[in-house]
Amino acid sequence: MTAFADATEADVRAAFDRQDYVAGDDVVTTALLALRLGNPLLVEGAPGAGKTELAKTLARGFDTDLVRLQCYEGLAAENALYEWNYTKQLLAVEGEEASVDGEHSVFDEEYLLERPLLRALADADDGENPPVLLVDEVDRADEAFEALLLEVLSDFQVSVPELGTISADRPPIVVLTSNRTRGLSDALKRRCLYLHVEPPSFERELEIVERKSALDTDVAAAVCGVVQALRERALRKQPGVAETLDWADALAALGVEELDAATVERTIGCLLKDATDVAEIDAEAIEAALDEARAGTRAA
Amino acid sequence: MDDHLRAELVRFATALRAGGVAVPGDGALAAADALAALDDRGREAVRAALRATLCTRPADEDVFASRFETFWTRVRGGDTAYGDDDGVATLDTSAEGVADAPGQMVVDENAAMPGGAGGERSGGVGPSQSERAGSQYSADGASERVSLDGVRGDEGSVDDAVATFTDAVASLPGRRWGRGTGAPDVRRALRRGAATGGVPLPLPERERERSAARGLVFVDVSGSVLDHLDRDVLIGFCHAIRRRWRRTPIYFFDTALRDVSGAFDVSSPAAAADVLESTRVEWGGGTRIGDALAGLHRERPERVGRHDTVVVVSDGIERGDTDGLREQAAWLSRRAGRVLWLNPLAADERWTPSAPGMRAVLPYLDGLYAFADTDDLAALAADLKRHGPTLRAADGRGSA
Repeated sequence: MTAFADATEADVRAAFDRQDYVAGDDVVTTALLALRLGNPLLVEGAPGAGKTELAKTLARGFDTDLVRLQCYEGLAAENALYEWNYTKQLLAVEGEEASVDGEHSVFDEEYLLERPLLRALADADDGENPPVLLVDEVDRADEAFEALLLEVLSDFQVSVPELGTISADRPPIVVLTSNRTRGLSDALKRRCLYLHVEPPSFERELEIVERKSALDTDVAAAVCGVVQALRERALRKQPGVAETLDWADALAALGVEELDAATVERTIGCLLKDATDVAEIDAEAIEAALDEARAGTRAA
Repeated sequence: MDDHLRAELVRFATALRAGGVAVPGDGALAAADALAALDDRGREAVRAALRATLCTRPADEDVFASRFETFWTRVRGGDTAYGDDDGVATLDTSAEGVADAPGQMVVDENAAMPGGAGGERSGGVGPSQSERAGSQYSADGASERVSLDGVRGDEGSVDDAVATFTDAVASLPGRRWGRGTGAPDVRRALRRGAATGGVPLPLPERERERSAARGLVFVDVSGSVLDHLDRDVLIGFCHAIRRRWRRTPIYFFDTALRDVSGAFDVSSPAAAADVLESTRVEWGGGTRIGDALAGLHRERPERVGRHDTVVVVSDGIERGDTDGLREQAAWLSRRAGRVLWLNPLAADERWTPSAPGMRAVLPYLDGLYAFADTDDLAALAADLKRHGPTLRAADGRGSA
């Protein structure tokens, strides 16, 4: 497998292709730069746009591990870096297998629980390529964690007072995703390559659906046409590619061979995840979306 | 990465900040690193790399997009200025005349797409259609393989135009004098008079030497030229020249010089295109005209003879040293029978030869003509036949 530093645009395209990840030239180029320069890649875009999948695809495509850190409000350093296994330490001390200090200390790697950031650094020198570290939905974490992340991403090292500094000769490939629920600090963004993922065009979305689902081409085109038409509406939660794929899978599971208004109405829950939006898209709106989809399909 | 590109990156980052884009403090540096990491410095790759390093918010996309057009024009040698805060690029008319940079003068709604046939030209300011479609070249970028996907041009009309051109070139008097009946040869008369002790003899006469159409064709296949010159016409032109002229080598050059004469020794332009593709001939890189001429001067000077007509197809936008270009143009002028320069940009009536490269070579040219499509070729052939080589295109009147 090609080393990240030696990857070419063709390698990245091939990796995406193998994983059925349909990407535009801008995504390929930016991913290539992340591999070659070793800079973290910050991917922003609406939920379901394929941000997380990009990191997974890079890991699978280059045959390396994916280390995922799912961010949430209140995420603390010990959840992201490391924790001591207190239970194991206590048992070791009580069983006189180890002591608090001395030769057999309980503050040894044996008693350390690696959390994603540390694991990504510790594993970085194993294998042909370092792992891909996915810091997912970083906008959900609070600013204190962002500062910690900034520190780790600056030096790619973690200090464990009892053990010393753990660093990686080959830093992991870091992909941060954000749904933009809050703005990230300029300092963090400065250290990253930035990629904003837009909703795909009809043609690209159709290619994605054809690759990822078992739907017939005509039905897939109708599905994409309806989704594109709905994205034109002022919905509270626009359907992303993930919702399109969910819907396509649902229609395939139902054995739908032609997309009509009744079918759309019955399965719209796969596509729209907000009650207000579901209420907004009534039978008339569905007919209009289907008409637009048919017109768009003919034009394409 | 050259100094010009580095300077333009800094200007671009500054222009983005002026437009309200939140460019990181070291954005230009990061952008330079990103460009250095690219194998392909085509337009879309460069755009993606710069957006990844200079943009940090989706809201900045519009300003970035509009100012990138200006950056792309400037980095290829154009003088377009960054616009005001509305993010719209404007033309810098304070420069000497309307410069002959491609992004500044030609908007080509139906222009030759990379690998495709061209259409009508029209004036205007801004990116060409081919630029918007993602043409793959840059000022100092790498070449790409020739790929024409089949020549679709009107082979017959190109061949007819080249036939007229050949006829015009063959009938032109050379710059050199030979024995003849055109004008008194004072030098020979004096020599002969001195040899006979001043005895009056019939006055020797002389006339300009005429030659068959033969010479050398030197085609600039840099990206900036290929965006404005119909590629099918170019292949047809080279093929017809190779077939109709005597012993005429054909060279392609951008940042490297390539002898492609053999590729045109086939039955048709389409076959020539196939040969170029199959032999992996490359084009579409940056432009270093002086270096290319120097390569010829150094390695095959004998290919330029005193009776030869050297045809240079180039926009004259030199990314190398213009002093070197001037020296090589002077050498070519001394060595060749005549030098005809065919410039795709000159097809626009507002064009003037104000690019440094074009200014450097102009004193050494015998003829300067527009050449962007078959009509231009027919017009220049007719003009050449009627008036002989002229530099009237330099006055902004085109070749017709």
